[in-house]
Amino acid sequence: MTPTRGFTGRRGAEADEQRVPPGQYATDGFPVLSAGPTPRTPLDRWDLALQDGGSLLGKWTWDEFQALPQTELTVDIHCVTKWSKLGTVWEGVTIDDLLAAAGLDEPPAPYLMAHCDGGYTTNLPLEDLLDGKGLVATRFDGEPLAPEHGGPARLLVPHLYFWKSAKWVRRLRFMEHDEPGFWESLGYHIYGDPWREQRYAGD
Amino acid sequence: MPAIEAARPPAGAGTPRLAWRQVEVIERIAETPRATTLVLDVPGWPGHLAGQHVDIRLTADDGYQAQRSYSIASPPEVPQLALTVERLERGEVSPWLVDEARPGDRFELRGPIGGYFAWSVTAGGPLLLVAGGSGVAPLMAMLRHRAASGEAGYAVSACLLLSSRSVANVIYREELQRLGSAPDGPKVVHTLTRAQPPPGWRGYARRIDAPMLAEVGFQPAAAPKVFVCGPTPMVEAVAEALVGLGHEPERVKTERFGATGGE
Amino acid sequence: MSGEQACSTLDGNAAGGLLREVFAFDATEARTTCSGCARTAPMAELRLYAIELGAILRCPSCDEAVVRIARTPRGLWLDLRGAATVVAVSA
Repeated sequence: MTPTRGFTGRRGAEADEQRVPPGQYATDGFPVLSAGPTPRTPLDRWDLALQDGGSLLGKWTWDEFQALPQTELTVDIHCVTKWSKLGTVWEGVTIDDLLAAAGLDEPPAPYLMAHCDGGYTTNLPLEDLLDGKGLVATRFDGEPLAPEHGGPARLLVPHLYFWKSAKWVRRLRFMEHDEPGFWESLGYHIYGDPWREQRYAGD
Repeated sequence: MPAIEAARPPAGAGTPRLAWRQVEVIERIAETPRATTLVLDVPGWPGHLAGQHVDIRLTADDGYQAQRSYSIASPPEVPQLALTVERLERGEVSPWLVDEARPGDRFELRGPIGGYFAWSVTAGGPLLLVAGGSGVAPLMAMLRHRAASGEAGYAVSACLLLSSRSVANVIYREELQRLGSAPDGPKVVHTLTRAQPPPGWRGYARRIDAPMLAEVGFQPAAAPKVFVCGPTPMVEAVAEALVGLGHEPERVKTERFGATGGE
Repeated sequence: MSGEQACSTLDGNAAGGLLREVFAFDATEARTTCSGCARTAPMAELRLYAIELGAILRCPSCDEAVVRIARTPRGLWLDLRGAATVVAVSA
């Protein structure tokens, strides 16, 4: 295809090549991509649940969640639509601390499905959430997380494509076997490692 | 408007798959400070209905591509396609189209697309068109088609209510003035939403609402075909007001213009 | 228009090109019945999300995903389970 004269798109942020996975472009912006309308859950109605089969392993109101150990992370994030944003600053509760708060020495199952306001889901191996790899984030860039970007709380799993960092997360349900979530059941990769360019099923 | 040949209307069921084709810019027209019309040479264009749109695709040197949809502003009677584009503040594609694109430039296009938001004089009227800003583009194609259709066009009563930020941002202002003052021309009513109207202004000066629609448009009893196009909040408010006034929902066709979240 | 929207800024009209890749007819006029709330609407009037990945078309009444389409290099994935019926309008 003949290139279009003078068109460069929105890319061009300066970036350390080593930090940008194959096929990605660094951006200064923060594009909003949603599969549905932005929910507006008031904090006094928000809660986060940990579920295993029919059992509720833990449930926190907003105030209870805020009382858990808070962790700040600075990470690079990578969207499957090819933009990457380097050095983003988040704050929230690690999955490790969440499991500990529920009294769990180890996760009851190897996988979980994140369920979100609005119906979005995504699946993850616990291995990719423990040891500080996953956070339930409530603050971005020093401010409360905006609704358009997933507020009050979203999952943050920066080493995988950003569709795994589920916005508006409300429930983490343990699973014995890996099952595809919203995008994974529609042709996107079940795991989603940006360094191996696992965008689509079969990659 | 030169009449070249009557375009064949696109087929219904069994329409061949859309293919991307390369097109060339042959003219650029600055409509307003924010909006530009690009006139395109599209070899082998199969024809279209007023109201339909195209997808366009731009490719950077390194292969990066961006794709967006734009309404066709030209009528089926004219072989060159015209697209009227408004620059979106944080747009990725619109700034190139509005500020950069010049005669000789090439990009990819596919179409025509969309049977829902389309009209031809054979569908009859009366025709009520309600536009917000650059949402006027597909409705202008309808008015241009009506004007190019001779007796069959004049037989359809038409009315355009156009909402713009300010006088300087009224797209197609002179042409609408001409069309509106021609015998059997459409009724054209303007409203401004942001600026103070200039002295002598005879239009409205507020957002479109039910009383304005009731005063300006055809009565529900006339069963007009209604097309509403513009930013989402405007389209939703207007559609709701029209249905509230008694227009049949099936006769009110809507098209929301806007940015993707990635803009 | 700001990149941060509370609601969808596009509708099924803007997915017309993609729908033409999926269906042999113009699907913007096709009438869908939502499997969530039974609301009937032309596909053009469904609210469009995630156009960067394909199209998620949601019911204007209850936000149920009526049509889900994802574009991948190996083809289009289509999920119509959110539509109780889809009726193509004949020419």
